Amino acid sequence: MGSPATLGAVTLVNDIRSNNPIAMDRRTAISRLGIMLGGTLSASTLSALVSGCTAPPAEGFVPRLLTKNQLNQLGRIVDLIIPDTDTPGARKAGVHRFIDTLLAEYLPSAEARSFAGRFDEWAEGHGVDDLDDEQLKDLLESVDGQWASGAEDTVWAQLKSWTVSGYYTSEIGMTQELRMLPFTEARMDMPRSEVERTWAN
Amino acid sequence: MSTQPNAPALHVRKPFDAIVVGSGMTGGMAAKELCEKGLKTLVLDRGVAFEHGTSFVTEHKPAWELPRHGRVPIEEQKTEQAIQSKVYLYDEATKHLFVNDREQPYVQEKSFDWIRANQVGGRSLMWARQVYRLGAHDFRANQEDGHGVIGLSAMTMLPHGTIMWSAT
Repeated sequence: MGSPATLGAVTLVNDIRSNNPIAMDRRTAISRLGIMLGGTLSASTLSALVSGCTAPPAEGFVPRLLTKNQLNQLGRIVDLIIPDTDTPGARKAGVHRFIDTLLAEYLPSAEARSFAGRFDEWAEGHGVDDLDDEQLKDLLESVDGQWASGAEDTVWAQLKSWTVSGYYTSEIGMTQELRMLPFTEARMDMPRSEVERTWAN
Repeated sequence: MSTQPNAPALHVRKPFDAIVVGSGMTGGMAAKELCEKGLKTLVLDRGVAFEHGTSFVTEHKPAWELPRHGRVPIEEQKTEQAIQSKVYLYDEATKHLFVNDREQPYVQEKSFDWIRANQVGGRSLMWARQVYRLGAHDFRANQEDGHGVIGLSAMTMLPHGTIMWSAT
């Protein structure tokens, strides 16, 4: 990063000093400053990039708060909330496993058990286990429509919220559905038309 | 103030001209100014001896590498860092940079959220942002648009790097 950072710094300073309004617009200046800062931060950035991934592994995952059946139900539901498109959906991103982690570690245990109990009632009440994927999709659309028009459904509201936040903080969500490039790899002067996905932050 | 068992005893034989408590942004700048004025200056701080590089254990980690994608367990927030957890910077990746409120309580005669760093270098190490110097235009933009008060436009731009206060 040595030479681009130096180049960025020198160019920026020269352009400001020359006070040339067309030499560099604000966006370019900020981008180049990003390169300078990226250069100075590269040691910790790189160490973060090479460090191990601690996301719940798919193989042999044993849910800690949910039952295996609940985990499987959740997997079907999150994958209908955010399905596979040209990028993998919520199930492949492990969102159902992440929800089990939130229940086991993030929520106070009484609240987590309460949610698991209400989820059971919700799934049983809607007969989730008897529905194929197409029927489940119809059910969720109906449930979502009622919830959106004001019907109280704490289970659905919580599931939808966790699915969205879990997906967009997962590796698949942040690097495939969204775009994420660390400072050190950022490409400058990117034409707007090439940016087809929203950036991860 | 408690002394860590392995901390070297501090035998002060010569008096200092100034003692700065805390080496964050304010204390650090104060110490710099004092030293540059030739005062014999002592800087005191407490907490983890934070080392550039090796002390960065969560910096730049993407969310999915944090077990709870950034969330600190609710019970832990309440019992360990009930005050620190109110600040926007507090999350799974930064909680270790803040003091433990249970271990370091303080009296609040009136409500006061005291956000405290847990390392030498203070809160300067948690901020991680940039401040750009305002341009001359920024001081008159409101008046050019016909809003706001007169006054800022009259402000003389000081040379870059000017410190607005002085330790005299």
